[in-house]
Amino acid sequence: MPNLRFTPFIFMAMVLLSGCGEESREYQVKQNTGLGMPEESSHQSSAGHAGHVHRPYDFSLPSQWKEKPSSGMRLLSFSDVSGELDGSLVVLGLEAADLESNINRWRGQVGLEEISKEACLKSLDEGTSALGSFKSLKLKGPDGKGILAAIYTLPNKVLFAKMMGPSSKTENEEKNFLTFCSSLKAHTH
Amino acid sequence: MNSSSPLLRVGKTLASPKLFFYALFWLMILLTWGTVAQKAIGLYQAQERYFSSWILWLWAIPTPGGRATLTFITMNLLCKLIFASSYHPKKVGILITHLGALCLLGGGVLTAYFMTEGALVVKEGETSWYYQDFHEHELAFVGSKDGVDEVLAFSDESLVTGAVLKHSSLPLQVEVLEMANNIEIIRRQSAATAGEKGMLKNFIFRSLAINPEETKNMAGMRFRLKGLDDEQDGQYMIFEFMEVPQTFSVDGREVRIELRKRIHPLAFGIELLDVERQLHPGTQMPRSFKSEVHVVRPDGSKLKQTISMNRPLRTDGYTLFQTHYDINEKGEETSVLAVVENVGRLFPYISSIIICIGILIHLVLHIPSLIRRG
Repeated sequence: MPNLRFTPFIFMAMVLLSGCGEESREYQVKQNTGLGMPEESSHQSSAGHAGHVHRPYDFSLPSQWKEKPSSGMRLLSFSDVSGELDGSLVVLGLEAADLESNINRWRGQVGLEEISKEACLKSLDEGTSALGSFKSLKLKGPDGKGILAAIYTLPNKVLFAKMMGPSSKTENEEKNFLTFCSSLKAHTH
Repeated sequence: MNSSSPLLRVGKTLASPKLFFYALFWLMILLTWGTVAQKAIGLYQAQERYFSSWILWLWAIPTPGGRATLTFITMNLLCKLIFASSYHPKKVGILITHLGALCLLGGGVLTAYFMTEGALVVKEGETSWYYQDFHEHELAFVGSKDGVDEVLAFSDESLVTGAVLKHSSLPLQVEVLEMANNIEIIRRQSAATAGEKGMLKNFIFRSLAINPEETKNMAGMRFRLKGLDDEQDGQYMIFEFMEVPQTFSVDGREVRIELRKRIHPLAFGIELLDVERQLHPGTQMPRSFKSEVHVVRPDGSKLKQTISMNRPLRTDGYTLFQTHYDINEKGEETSVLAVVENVGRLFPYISSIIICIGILIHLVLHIPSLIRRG
Protein backbone atom coordinates (compact mmCIF):
# COMPACT_ATOMS: atom_id res chain seq x y z
CA MET A 1 0.00 0.00 0.00
CA PRO A 2 1.37 3.50 -0.85
CA ASN A 3 2.54 5.59 2.06
CA LEU A 4 -0.34 7.99 2.70
CA ARG A 5 0.55 9.10 6.21
CA PHE A 6 1.09 12.76 5.20
CA THR A 7 -2.23 12.98 3.32
CA PRO A 8 -4.37 14.40 6.17
CA PHE A 9 -1.80 17.08 6.93
CA ILE A 10 -1.33 17.98 3.26
CA PHE A 11 -5.13 18.25 3.01
CA MET A 12 -5.21 20.57 6.02
CA ALA A 13 -2.48 22.79 4.55
CA MET A 14 -4.29 22.94 1.19
CA VAL A 15 -7.58 23.93 2.79
CA LEU A 16 -5.91 26.66 4.83
CA LEU A 17 -3.95 27.99 1.85
CA SER A 18 -7.03 27.99 -0.39
CA GLY A 19 -8.49 30.61 1.94
CA CYS A 20 -5.88 33.13 0.84
CA GLY A 21 -7.85 34.69 -2.02
CA GLU A 22 -6.54 37.00 -4.73
CA GLU A 23 -6.45 40.69 -3.87
CA SER A 24 -6.68 42.05 -7.38
CA ARG A 25 -7.32 40.73 -10.86
CA GLU A 26 -7.30 42.07 -14.39
CA TYR A 27 -9.90 41.06 -16.93
CA GLN A 28 -11.70 42.18 -20.04
CA VAL A 29 -15.45 42.00 -20.46
CA LYS A 30 -17.66 42.87 -23.38
CA GLN A 31 -20.24 45.53 -22.64
CA ASN A 32 -23.86 44.56 -23.09
CA THR A 33 -24.78 44.82 -26.74
CA GLY A 34 -28.21 45.17 -28.20
CA LEU A 35 -30.36 46.00 -31.19
CA GLY A 36 -29.63 49.66 -31.85
CA MET A 37 -28.83 50.16 -28.21
CA PRO A 38 -26.91 53.36 -27.60
CA GLU A 39 -23.53 53.01 -25.95
CA GLU A 40 -24.60 55.14 -22.99
CA SER A 41 -27.52 52.88 -22.13
CA SER A 42 -25.27 49.91 -22.44
CA HIS A 43 -22.97 51.45 -19.86
CA GLN A 44 -25.87 52.21 -17.53
CA SER A 45 -26.86 48.61 -17.72
CA SER A 46 -23.40 47.38 -16.92
CA ALA A 47 -22.91 49.72 -14.01
CA GLY A 48 -26.34 49.99 -12.57
CA HIS A 49 -28.63 47.09 -13.32
CA ALA A 50 -31.85 49.01 -13.33
CA GLY A 51 -33.71 45.76 -12.82
CA HIS A 52 -32.04 45.29 -9.47
CA VAL A 53 -32.81 48.68 -7.96
CA HIS A 54 -35.10 48.18 -5.02
CA ARG A 55 -38.12 50.42 -5.53
CA PRO A 56 -40.14 50.78 -2.36
CA TYR A 57 -42.81 53.01 -3.97
CA ASP A 58 -45.51 52.47 -6.56
CA PHE A 59 -46.67 55.25 -8.87
CA SER A 60 -48.41 55.81 -12.12
CA LEU A 61 -46.32 57.52 -14.75
CA PRO A 62 -48.29 59.68 -17.25
CA SER A 63 -48.68 57.72 -20.47
CA GLN A 64 -46.61 60.19 -22.55
CA TRP A 65 -43.66 60.04 -20.20
CA LYS A 66 -40.83 57.62 -20.62
CA GLU A 67 -39.10 55.72 -17.84
CA LYS A 68 -35.31 55.62 -18.18
CA PRO A 69 -32.72 53.33 -16.63
CA SER A 70 -32.07 54.44 -13.10
CA SER A 71 -29.79 53.48 -10.28
CA GLY A 72 -27.98 54.81 -7.24
CA MET A 73 -29.86 57.46 -5.35
CA ARG A 74 -32.41 57.67 -8.13
CA LEU A 75 -35.26 55.31 -7.47
CA LEU A 76 -36.70 56.34 -10.80
CA SER A 77 -35.60 58.34 -13.83
CA PHE A 78 -38.01 59.56 -16.45
CA SER A 79 -38.50 62.15 -19.15
CA ASP A 80 -41.35 63.84 -20.93
CA VAL A 81 -42.35 62.82 -24.45
CA SER A 82 -39.80 65.20 -26.01
CA GLY A 83 -36.99 63.85 -23.86
CA GLU A 84 -35.96 67.42 -22.97
CA LEU A 85 -37.09 67.22 -19.36
CA ASP A 86 -35.09 65.08 -16.98
CA GLY A 87 -37.15 63.67 -14.14
CA SER A 88 -36.05 61.83 -11.04
CA LEU A 89 -37.31 60.36 -7.81
CA VAL A 90 -34.63 60.42 -5.13
CA VAL A 91 -34.66 59.32 -1.51
CA LEU A 92 -32.31 60.81 1.11
CA GLY A 93 -31.96 60.90 4.90
CA LEU A 94 -33.91 63.42 6.97
CA GLU A 95 -30.80 65.61 7.14
CA ALA A 96 -31.59 66.56 3.55
CA ALA A 97 -35.13 67.70 4.36
CA ASP A 98 -34.33 71.37 4.98
CA LEU A 99 -36.70 73.24 2.68
CA GLU A 100 -34.76 76.49 2.54
CA SER A 101 -31.48 74.97 1.41
CA ASN A 102 -33.18 72.72 -1.15
CA ILE A 103 -35.26 75.51 -2.63
CA ASN A 104 -32.32 77.88 -2.83
CA ARG A 105 -30.19 75.17 -4.43
CA TRP A 106 -32.86 74.62 -7.09
CA ARG A 107 -33.23 78.36 -7.56
CA GLY A 108 -29.49 78.52 -8.19
CA GLN A 109 -29.81 75.75 -10.81
CA VAL A 110 -32.22 77.86 -12.86
CA GLY A 111 -30.34 81.12 -12.34
CA LEU A 112 -32.48 82.67 -9.60
CA GLU A 113 -31.11 84.33 -6.48
CA GLU A 114 -31.40 82.90 -2.99
CA ILE A 115 -34.39 84.00 -0.94
CA SER A 116 -35.24 84.02 2.77
CA LYS A 117 -36.73 81.07 4.62
CA GLU A 118 -40.13 82.81 4.85
CA ALA A 119 -40.14 83.53 1.13
CA CYS A 120 -39.18 79.88 0.47
CA LEU A 121 -42.11 78.61 2.50
CA LYS A 122 -44.47 81.02 0.76
CA SER A 123 -43.38 79.73 -2.65
CA LEU A 124 -44.59 76.21 -1.85
CA ASP A 125 -47.94 74.63 -2.66
CA GLU A 126 -49.35 71.61 -0.89
CA GLY A 127 -50.52 68.36 -2.43
CA THR A 128 -51.65 64.99 -1.14
CA SER A 129 -50.76 61.42 -1.95
CA ALA A 130 -51.06 58.02 -0.34
CA LEU A 131 -47.66 58.73 1.26
CA GLY A 132 -49.13 61.80 2.95
CA SER A 133 -48.99 65.47 2.06
CA PHE A 134 -46.16 66.88 -0.01
CA LYS A 135 -44.86 70.34 -0.83
CA SER A 136 -44.56 71.26 -4.48
CA LEU A 137 -42.73 74.04 -6.22
CA LYS A 138 -42.46 75.54 -9.69
CA LEU A 139 -39.42 77.59 -10.68
CA LYS A 140 -38.78 79.52 -13.86
CA GLY A 141 -35.36 81.06 -14.37
CA PRO A 142 -34.38 84.13 -16.43
CA ASP A 143 -32.41 82.03 -18.91
CA GLY A 144 -35.28 79.73 -19.88
CA LYS A 145 -34.64 76.90 -17.40
CA GLY A 146 -37.42 75.56 -15.25
CA ILE A 147 -37.88 73.12 -12.38
CA LEU A 148 -40.88 71.27 -11.04
CA ALA A 149 -40.23 69.70 -7.67
CA ALA A 150 -42.04 67.99 -4.84
CA ILE A 151 -40.79 67.12 -1.37
CA TYR A 152 -42.29 64.36 0.79
CA THR A 153 -41.07 64.40 4.38
CA LEU A 154 -41.59 60.87 5.64
CA PRO A 155 -40.94 59.50 9.17
CA ASN A 156 -37.29 58.62 8.55
CA LYS A 157 -36.43 59.90 5.12
CA VAL A 158 -37.22 62.52 2.55
CA LEU A 159 -38.33 61.85 -0.99
CA PHE A 160 -37.72 64.31 -3.83
CA ALA A 161 -39.52 64.23 -7.17
CA LYS A 162 -38.05 66.63 -9.66
CA MET A 163 -38.26 67.55 -13.35
CA MET A 164 -35.85 69.97 -14.92
CA GLY A 165 -35.40 71.38 -18.41
CA PRO A 166 -36.68 74.22 -20.60
CA SER A 167 -39.23 76.28 -18.67
CA SER A 168 -41.67 76.15 -21.61
CA LYS A 169 -41.74 72.36 -21.17
CA THR A 170 -41.97 72.39 -17.39
CA GLU A 171 -45.01 74.68 -17.65
CA ASN A 172 -46.68 72.25 -20.06
CA GLU A 173 -45.97 69.28 -17.84
CA GLU A 174 -46.96 70.84 -14.51
CA LYS A 175 -50.37 69.14 -14.40
CA ASN A 176 -48.86 65.74 -15.31
CA PHE A 177 -46.14 66.22 -12.72
CA LEU A 178 -48.63 66.91 -9.93
CA THR A 179 -50.73 63.92 -11.01
CA PHE A 180 -47.60 61.76 -10.85
CA CYS A 181 -46.73 63.17 -7.41
CA SER A 182 -50.23 62.41 -6.13
CA SER A 183 -50.01 58.85 -7.40
CA LEU A 184 -47.00 57.91 -5.25
CA LYS A 185 -47.71 55.27 -2.65
CA ALA A 186 -45.82 52.65 -0.65
CA HIS A 187 -45.02 49.54 -2.66
CA THR A 188 -47.31 46.60 -2.09
CA HIS A 189 -46.28 43.05 -3.00
CA MET B 1 5.80 3.15 10.14
CA ASN B 2 7.39 3.10 13.57
CA SER B 3 4.57 2.72 16.11
CA SER B 4 6.18 5.34 18.36
CA SER B 5 6.45 7.92 15.54
CA PRO B 6 4.88 11.26 16.55
CA LEU B 7 3.07 11.41 13.21
CA LEU B 8 1.43 8.05 13.87
CA ARG B 9 0.46 9.10 17.38
CA VAL B 10 -1.11 12.36 16.12
CA GLY B 11 -2.82 10.47 13.29
CA LYS B 12 -4.27 7.84 15.63
CA THR B 13 -5.46 10.51 18.08
CA LEU B 14 -7.14 12.45 15.31
CA ALA B 15 -8.77 9.24 14.04
CA SER B 16 -10.72 8.79 17.27
CA PRO B 17 -14.44 8.01 16.73
CA LYS B 18 -15.16 10.03 19.87
CA LEU B 19 -13.80 13.16 18.22
CA PHE B 20 -15.94 12.41 15.18
CA PHE B 21 -19.01 12.10 17.41
CA TYR B 22 -18.37 15.41 19.21
CA ALA B 23 -17.59 17.23 15.95
CA LEU B 24 -20.80 15.92 14.39
CA PHE B 25 -22.76 16.95 17.47
CA TRP B 26 -21.26 20.47 17.29
CA LEU B 27 -22.10 20.61 13.58
CA MET B 28 -25.73 19.81 14.39
CA ILE B 29 -25.79 22.64 16.94
CA LEU B 30 -24.31 25.04 14.37
CA LEU B 31 -26.84 23.92 11.79
CA THR B 32 -29.77 24.53 14.13
CA TRP B 33 -28.36 27.81 15.35
CA GLY B 34 -27.60 29.10 11.86
CA THR B 35 -31.04 28.10 10.60
CA VAL B 36 -32.77 29.96 13.43
CA ALA B 37 -30.48 32.99 12.95
CA GLN B 38 -31.43 33.24 9.27
CA LYS B 39 -34.70 34.89 10.20
CA ALA B 40 -32.98 37.74 12.00
CA ILE B 41 -29.82 38.30 9.97
CA GLY B 42 -30.73 36.89 6.56
CA LEU B 43 -29.65 33.82 4.65
CA TYR B 44 -26.25 35.02 3.43
CA GLN B 45 -25.12 36.55 6.71
CA ALA B 46 -26.13 33.37 8.60
CA GLN B 47 -24.30 31.23 6.06
CA GLU B 48 -21.16 33.36 6.39
CA ARG B 49 -21.26 33.57 10.18
CA TYR B 50 -22.18 29.99 11.11
CA PHE B 51 -21.32 27.72 8.17
CA SER B 52 -18.51 29.34 6.15
CA SER B 53 -16.48 30.64 9.08
CA TRP B 54 -13.37 29.24 10.74
CA ILE B 55 -14.19 30.86 14.06
CA LEU B 56 -17.61 31.61 15.49
CA TRP B 57 -17.43 34.20 18.24
CA LEU B 58 -19.90 33.57 21.02
CA TRP B 59 -19.61 36.95 22.70
CA ALA B 60 -15.83 36.96 23.48
CA ILE B 61 -15.39 33.18 23.30
CA PRO B 62 -13.99 31.74 20.06
CA THR B 63 -15.64 28.47 18.99
CA PRO B 64 -15.15 26.42 15.81
CA GLY B 65 -17.21 27.70 12.89
CA GLY B 66 -18.79 25.44 10.28
CA ARG B 67 -15.72 25.41 8.02
CA ALA B 68 -13.37 24.49 10.88
CA THR B 69 -15.73 21.74 12.04
CA LEU B 70 -16.10 20.22 8.57
CA THR B 71 -12.33 20.40 8.01
CA PHE B 72 -11.83 18.62 11.32
CA ILE B 73 -14.35 15.90 10.35
CA THR B 74 -12.53 15.43 7.02
CA MET B 75 -9.20 15.16 8.85
CA ASN B 76 -10.76 12.68 11.26
CA LEU B 77 -12.06 10.48 8.43
CA LEU B 78 -8.74 10.68 6.56
CA CYS B 79 -6.81 9.73 9.67
CA LYS B 80 -9.26 6.92 10.38
CA LEU B 81 -8.76 5.59 6.87
CA ILE B 82 -4.98 5.89 6.93
CA PHE B 83 -3.94 5.26 10.53
CA ALA B 84 -6.71 3.26 12.16
CA SER B 85 -8.37 1.07 9.53
CA SER B 86 -7.67 -2.59 9.07
CA TYR B 87 -7.24 -3.41 5.40
CA HIS B 88 -8.97 -6.76 5.48
CA PRO B 89 -11.10 -8.02 2.54
CA LYS B 90 -14.09 -8.21 4.87
CA LYS B 91 -13.76 -4.50 5.65
CA VAL B 92 -13.69 -3.39 2.01
CA GLY B 93 -17.32 -2.18 2.22
CA ILE B 94 -16.53 0.06 5.19
CA LEU B 95 -13.44 1.44 3.45
CA ILE B 96 -15.44 2.27 0.32
CA THR B 97 -18.12 3.96 2.45
CA HIS B 98 -15.43 6.07 4.14
CA LEU B 99 -14.01 7.00 0.74
CA GLY B 100 -17.51 8.03 -0.38
CA ALA B 101 -17.90 10.28 2.68
CA LEU B 102 -14.47 11.81 2.00
CA CYS B 103 -15.47 12.39 -1.60
CA LEU B 104 -18.56 14.24 -0.36
CA LEU B 105 -16.48 16.43 1.95
CA GLY B 106 -13.90 17.01 -0.81
CA GLY B 107 -16.72 18.23 -3.06
CA GLY B 108 -17.73 20.56 -0.24
CA VAL B 109 -14.22 22.03 -0.17
CA LEU B 110 -14.33 22.66 -3.93
CA THR B 111 -17.76 24.25 -3.64
CA ALA B 112 -16.72 26.42 -0.68
CA TYR B 113 -13.68 27.84 -2.45
CA PHE B 114 -14.48 27.81 -6.13
CA MET B 115 -18.24 28.15 -6.56
CA THR B 116 -19.49 31.46 -7.92
CA GLU B 117 -23.09 32.55 -8.28
CA GLY B 118 -24.67 35.71 -9.50
CA ALA B 119 -27.27 37.35 -11.69
CA LEU B 120 -27.23 37.85 -15.43
CA VAL B 121 -29.63 40.65 -16.31
CA VAL B 122 -30.51 40.95 -19.96
CA LYS B 123 -33.14 42.98 -21.80
CA GLU B 124 -35.01 41.64 -24.79
CA GLY B 125 -32.84 42.12 -27.87
CA GLU B 126 -29.64 42.57 -25.83
CA THR B 127 -26.69 40.27 -25.32
CA SER B 128 -24.95 40.04 -21.96
CA TRP B 129 -21.42 38.67 -21.60
CA TYR B 130 -21.05 38.57 -17.83
CA TYR B 131 -22.86 38.02 -14.59
CA GLN B 132 -22.58 39.91 -11.32
CA ASP B 133 -21.94 38.17 -8.04
CA PHE B 134 -24.81 38.09 -5.55
CA HIS B 135 -22.59 38.90 -2.59
CA GLU B 136 -18.99 39.92 -3.27
CA HIS B 137 -17.97 43.45 -4.19
CA GLU B 138 -15.08 44.81 -6.20
CA LEU B 139 -13.52 48.20 -6.69
CA ALA B 140 -13.03 48.40 -10.43
CA PHE B 141 -10.89 50.74 -12.51
CA VAL B 142 -12.48 50.54 -15.93
CA GLY B 143 -11.21 51.81 -19.26
CA SER B 144 -13.44 51.21 -22.29
CA LYS B 145 -12.34 50.62 -25.84
CA ASP B 146 -14.41 49.37 -28.81
CA GLY B 147 -17.23 48.05 -26.63
CA VAL B 148 -14.88 46.15 -24.33
CA ASP B 149 -14.20 47.13 -20.71
CA GLU B 150 -10.61 46.65 -19.59
CA VAL B 151 -10.78 46.22 -15.84
CA LEU B 152 -8.42 46.15 -12.90
CA ALA B 153 -10.47 45.09 -9.88
CA PHE B 154 -9.65 44.90 -6.19
CA SER B 155 -11.60 42.23 -4.37
CA ASP B 156 -13.69 42.43 -1.19
CA GLU B 157 -10.77 41.22 0.97
CA SER B 158 -8.74 44.33 0.17
CA LEU B 159 -11.64 46.79 0.58
CA VAL B 160 -11.25 47.46 4.27
CA THR B 161 -10.90 50.76 6.08
CA GLY B 162 -7.23 51.76 6.20
CA ALA B 163 -6.11 49.61 3.24
CA VAL B 164 -3.89 51.13 0.55
CA LEU B 165 -4.59 49.77 -2.93
CA LYS B 166 -1.79 49.80 -5.47
CA HIS B 167 -1.06 47.93 -8.67
CA SER B 168 1.85 47.98 -11.10
CA SER B 169 -0.48 48.80 -14.02
CA LEU B 170 -2.00 51.80 -12.23
CA PRO B 171 -0.06 55.05 -11.77
CA LEU B 172 -2.06 55.98 -8.68
CA GLN B 173 -2.91 54.69 -5.26
CA VAL B 174 -6.13 54.57 -3.33
CA GLU B 175 -6.29 54.75 0.44
CA VAL B 176 -9.58 53.42 1.78
CA LEU B 177 -10.74 55.94 4.39
CA GLU B 178 -14.08 54.30 5.11
CA MET B 179 -15.81 51.23 3.69
CA ALA B 180 -19.35 50.21 4.61
CA ASN B 181 -21.57 47.47 3.22
CA ASN B 182 -24.78 49.41 3.72
CA ILE B 183 -25.02 53.17 3.61
CA GLU B 184 -27.42 56.05 3.37
CA ILE B 185 -26.53 59.10 1.30
CA ILE B 186 -26.95 62.42 3.06
CA ARG B 187 -26.70 65.90 1.62
CA ARG B 188 -23.91 67.61 3.54
CA GLN B 189 -24.73 70.59 5.74
CA SER B 190 -21.19 71.92 6.16
CA ALA B 191 -19.06 73.16 3.29
CA ALA B 192 -16.61 70.71 1.73
CA THR B 193 -12.88 71.28 2.15
CA ALA B 194 -10.65 71.91 -0.86
CA GLY B 195 -9.47 68.31 -0.83
CA GLU B 196 -12.99 66.84 -0.97
CA LYS B 197 -13.99 66.25 -4.56
CA GLY B 198 -16.63 64.61 -6.75
CA MET B 199 -19.83 63.68 -4.94
CA LEU B 200 -18.14 64.40 -1.62
CA LYS B 201 -18.52 68.11 -2.36
CA ASN B 202 -22.28 67.86 -1.85
CA PHE B 203 -22.92 64.56 -0.11
CA ILE B 204 -21.61 62.38 2.65
CA PHE B 205 -22.74 58.91 3.68
CA ARG B 206 -23.72 57.26 6.91
CA SER B 207 -23.17 53.57 7.66
CA LEU B 208 -26.28 51.55 8.34
CA ALA B 209 -26.75 48.12 9.85
CA ILE B 210 -26.72 45.32 7.28
CA ASN B 211 -30.23 44.62 6.04
CA PRO B 212 -31.14 40.90 6.17
CA GLU B 213 -32.57 41.31 2.66
CA GLU B 214 -29.33 41.60 0.76
CA THR B 215 -30.71 43.45 -2.26
CA LYS B 216 -31.61 46.34 0.05
CA ASN B 217 -27.97 46.98 1.00
CA MET B 218 -25.91 49.55 -0.86
CA ALA B 219 -22.15 49.54 -0.23
CA GLY B 220 -20.24 52.80 -0.09
CA MET B 221 -16.64 53.89 0.20
CA ARG B 222 -14.72 57.08 0.94
CA PHE B 223 -11.17 57.10 -0.33
CA ARG B 224 -8.13 59.28 -0.88
CA LEU B 225 -6.60 59.26 -4.34
CA LYS B 226 -2.90 60.02 -4.77
CA GLY B 227 -0.49 59.97 -7.67
CA LEU B 228 -2.34 61.80 -10.46
CA ASP B 229 -2.20 65.60 -10.33
CA ASP B 230 -3.24 68.35 -7.89
CA GLU B 231 -6.54 68.79 -9.64
CA GLN B 232 -7.51 65.13 -9.39
CA ASP B 233 -5.80 64.00 -6.20
CA GLY B 234 -8.07 64.26 -3.17
CA GLN B 235 -10.86 62.58 -1.24
CA TYR B 236 -13.82 61.04 -3.05
CA MET B 237 -16.83 58.92 -2.26
CA ILE B 238 -18.42 56.26 -4.40
CA PHE B 239 -21.20 53.79 -3.82
CA GLU B 240 -22.96 50.92 -5.52
CA PHE B 241 -25.34 51.72 -8.38
CA MET B 242 -23.90 55.22 -8.68
CA GLU B 243 -25.67 56.87 -11.55
CA VAL B 244 -22.88 59.10 -12.77
CA PRO B 245 -19.60 57.20 -12.45
CA GLN B 246 -16.56 58.92 -10.97
CA THR B 247 -14.00 59.31 -13.74
CA PHE B 248 -10.34 60.29 -13.85
CA SER B 249 -7.90 61.07 -16.59
CA VAL B 250 -5.05 58.59 -16.29
CA ASP B 251 -2.23 59.06 -18.82
CA GLY B 252 -4.66 60.82 -21.14
CA ARG B 253 -7.20 58.01 -20.98
CA GLU B 254 -10.55 58.20 -19.24
CA VAL B 255 -10.80 55.67 -16.43
CA ARG B 256 -13.92 55.29 -14.33
CA ILE B 257 -13.90 53.89 -10.86
CA GLU B 258 -16.84 51.79 -9.72
CA LEU B 259 -17.78 50.06 -6.51
CA ARG B 260 -19.98 47.23 -7.66
CA LYS B 261 -20.87 43.61 -7.24
CA ARG B 262 -18.01 41.48 -8.57
CA ILE B 263 -18.25 40.84 -12.31
CA HIS B 264 -17.62 37.36 -13.69
CA PRO B 265 -16.96 37.49 -17.43
CA LEU B 266 -18.41 34.62 -19.49
CA ALA B 267 -16.78 32.98 -22.49
CA PHE B 268 -20.15 33.21 -24.25
CA GLY B 269 -22.97 35.72 -24.45
CA ILE B 270 -26.65 35.30 -23.69
CA GLU B 271 -28.90 37.08 -26.18
CA LEU B 272 -32.48 37.37 -24.98
CA LEU B 273 -34.89 36.72 -27.84
CA ASP B 274 -38.10 36.61 -25.85
CA VAL B 275 -39.20 36.32 -22.25
CA GLU B 276 -42.60 35.03 -21.33
CA ARG B 277 -44.55 35.16 -18.08
CA GLN B 278 -47.53 32.94 -17.38
CA LEU B 279 -49.96 33.90 -14.64
CA HIS B 280 -52.22 31.78 -12.47
CA PRO B 281 -55.67 32.09 -14.06
CA GLY B 282 -57.60 35.13 -12.85
CA THR B 283 -54.70 36.51 -10.80
CA GLN B 284 -51.57 38.62 -11.24
CA MET B 285 -49.48 35.90 -9.56
CA PRO B 286 -46.81 34.52 -11.87
CA ARG B 287 -46.98 30.78 -12.48
CA SER B 288 -43.85 30.48 -14.57
CA PHE B 289 -41.26 32.43 -16.54
CA LYS B 290 -39.55 31.29 -19.70
CA SER B 291 -36.68 32.85 -21.68
CA GLU B 292 -35.85 32.07 -25.30
CA VAL B 293 -32.14 32.82 -25.70
CA HIS B 294 -29.27 32.49 -28.11
CA VAL B 295 -26.00 31.27 -26.66
CA VAL B 296 -23.61 33.49 -28.63
CA ARG B 297 -19.99 32.50 -29.17
CA PRO B 298 -17.20 35.06 -29.73
CA ASP B 299 -16.95 33.86 -33.37
CA GLY B 300 -20.59 34.93 -33.84
CA SER B 301 -22.14 31.44 -33.94
CA LYS B 302 -25.43 31.11 -32.09
CA LEU B 303 -27.39 28.25 -30.56
CA LYS B 304 -31.04 28.69 -29.62
CA GLN B 305 -32.00 27.47 -26.14
CA THR B 306 -34.96 27.75 -23.78
CA ILE B 307 -34.56 28.43 -20.06
CA SER B 308 -37.60 27.95 -17.88
CA MET B 309 -38.14 27.68 -14.15
CA ASN B 310 -37.55 23.94 -13.90
CA ARG B 311 -35.34 23.60 -16.96
CA PRO B 312 -32.01 25.38 -16.44
CA LEU B 313 -29.47 25.73 -19.22
CA ARG B 314 -26.19 23.91 -18.59
CA THR B 315 -23.28 25.00 -20.73
CA ASP B 316 -19.50 25.43 -20.36
CA GLY B 317 -19.63 24.39 -16.70
CA TYR B 318 -22.28 27.00 -15.87
CA THR B 319 -25.91 26.44 -14.93
CA LEU B 320 -28.33 29.24 -15.77
CA PHE B 321 -31.66 29.29 -13.93
CA GLN B 322 -34.66 31.45 -14.71
CA THR B 323 -35.32 33.53 -11.59
CA HIS B 324 -37.01 36.80 -12.34
CA TYR B 325 -38.90 38.78 -14.93
CA ASP B 326 -39.40 42.52 -15.21
CA ILE B 327 -41.27 44.83 -17.52
CA ASN B 328 -40.88 48.60 -17.45
CA GLU B 329 -43.36 51.33 -18.28
CA LYS B 330 -42.34 51.23 -21.94
CA GLY B 331 -43.15 47.55 -22.14
CA GLU B 332 -39.50 46.50 -22.41
CA GLU B 333 -39.04 43.08 -20.88
CA THR B 334 -36.01 41.99 -18.89
CA SER B 335 -35.05 38.51 -17.82
CA VAL B 336 -32.91 37.82 -14.76
CA LEU B 337 -31.03 34.53 -14.80
CA ALA B 338 -29.17 33.11 -11.81
CA VAL B 339 -25.80 31.80 -12.97
CA VAL B 340 -23.96 29.17 -10.94
CA GLU B 341 -20.50 27.84 -11.64
CA ASN B 342 -19.66 24.95 -9.33
CA VAL B 343 -16.84 22.53 -10.08
CA GLY B 344 -17.96 20.41 -7.12
CA ARG B 345 -21.56 19.99 -8.24
CA LEU B 346 -21.21 16.33 -9.29
CA PHE B 347 -19.50 15.26 -6.08
CA PRO B 348 -22.69 14.71 -4.01
CA TYR B 349 -24.05 12.38 -6.72
CA ILE B 350 -20.78 10.50 -7.15
CA SER B 351 -20.17 10.16 -3.42
CA SER B 352 -23.75 9.00 -2.77
CA ILE B 353 -23.25 6.22 -5.30
CA ILE B 354 -19.89 5.27 -3.72
CA ILE B 355 -21.45 5.22 -0.23
CA CYS B 356 -24.36 3.05 -1.45
CA ILE B 357 -21.94 0.62 -3.12
CA GLY B 358 -19.83 0.48 0.06
CA ILE B 359 -22.82 -0.25 2.30
CA LEU B 360 -24.13 -2.84 -0.18
CA ILE B 361 -20.76 -4.64 -0.33
CA HIS B 362 -20.54 -4.57 3.45
CA LEU B 363 -24.02 -6.11 3.77
CA VAL B 364 -23.37 -8.76 1.12
CA LEU B 365 -20.05 -9.78 2.71
CA HIS B 366 -21.76 -10.15 6.08
CA ILE B 367 -24.82 -12.08 4.92
CA PRO B 368 -23.17 -15.51 5.55
CA SER B 369 -22.24 -14.60 9.15
CA LEU B 370 -25.71 -13.12 9.72
CA ILE B 371 -27.30 -16.35 8.43
CA ARG B 372 -25.03 -18.42 10.69
CA ARG B 373 -25.99 -16.27 13.70
CA GLY B 374 -29.68 -16.42 12.78
